[in-house]
Amino acid sequence: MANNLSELSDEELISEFQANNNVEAFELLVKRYKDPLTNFVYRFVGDRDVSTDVVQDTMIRFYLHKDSYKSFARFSTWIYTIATNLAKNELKRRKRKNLFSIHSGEDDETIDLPDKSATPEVLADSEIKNRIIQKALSRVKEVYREVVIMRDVQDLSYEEIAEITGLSIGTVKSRINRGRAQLQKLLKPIYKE
Amino acid sequence: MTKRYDIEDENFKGVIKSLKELPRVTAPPDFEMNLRRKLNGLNSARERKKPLFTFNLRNVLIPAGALAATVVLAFLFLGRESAELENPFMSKPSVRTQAHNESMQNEQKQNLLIKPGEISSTDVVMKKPSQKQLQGHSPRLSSPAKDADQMAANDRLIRRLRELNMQDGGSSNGDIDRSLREKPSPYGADQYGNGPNTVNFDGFNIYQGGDRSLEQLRARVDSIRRIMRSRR
Repeated sequence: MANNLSELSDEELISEFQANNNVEAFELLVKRYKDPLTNFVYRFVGDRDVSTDVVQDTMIRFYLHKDSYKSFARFSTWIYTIATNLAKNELKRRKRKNLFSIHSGEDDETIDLPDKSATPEVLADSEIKNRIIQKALSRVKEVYREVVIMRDVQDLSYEEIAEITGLSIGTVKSRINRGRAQLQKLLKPIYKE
Repeated sequence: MTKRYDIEDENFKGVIKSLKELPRVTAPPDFEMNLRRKLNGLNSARERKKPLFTFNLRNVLIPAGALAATVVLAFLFLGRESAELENPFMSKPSVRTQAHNESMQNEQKQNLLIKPGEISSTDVVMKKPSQKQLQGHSPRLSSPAKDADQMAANDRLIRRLRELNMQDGGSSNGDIDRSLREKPSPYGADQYGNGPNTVNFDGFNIYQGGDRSLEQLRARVDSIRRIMRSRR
């Protein structure tokens, strides 16, 4: 039975879960999407624990509201939509909690290097570079960041992004380019060389 | 996977490469275990709610019964009140007649009043009732003390009438009608007013004279009697 289920597509699995309340089908979908969603939410909110909580909430919502999924939509877009909305809510909650946001809103601002010894050679160190990129990413406007991560980190198609965000493909492309431009400005020190 | 729009801008090549090279963050190893624990907690909370609901049902029945009883009582009281209230669509004509009678009675009372100057200070003085008193439901127009005063005044008036009768001869012994019958008219008329100066027209006898003061007093006595009757 388990082998048979693993061969099923996402849409077939959720149909099985909806029709027969088959928890194994649910668990299989959780296994398939827990990592991509964690990666996406982490890049969006920039916090490991928060991203784990958001993805768990996403799975709980999926479990509780499985009947709200309609078969004409792709399961991936449906689950990404839930995760994106929850991540946005979490960011709003954090912004309310903190007096100042980590996102300054100044697009021209560049990322300060960690210290004076952080030369391009040192930045070659992938860990520091990744940290800087993540920091820069968190400074990109939320509406741009969301689509840039979906496109360049999660490798989703424009169609999928349009479906998840509810935007037109043209708007998605435009936002992606604007987000990339912002990110490039912020990461000037890295690309100096 | 799906159709792609491979139109990445060359200008952002470096950014795109950096983003794609970012390490993949994975869910913690206890992710599924924690998720299962949370879901079990949700399910047990749901199951716990079920017996609570049946238990609460009994608690709900008591206030519901009390509410129903209150509604029934309120309905009964309101029903009685509504029965007492006059329905304008169901009003009987008697209500209007009664109101008319009351107004007529008030009018009579006003007509029966003795105008000032007609009688002396010792005579009955009927105070003109105020508009408020006339509009009121109570037939009583004055206080008991005032009534007693008026009764005393009436007695005085009757005594005076008797005295007048006595002055006239005293044979009538207080009976004014008898006195009138027995007393001869100064103009030669009989008790019905027929006298030498009477002009008769087809059976109608017109009284042209007589003792005016006695007639006036008689009229007043009649009015007093009517008042007394109406007050009873």
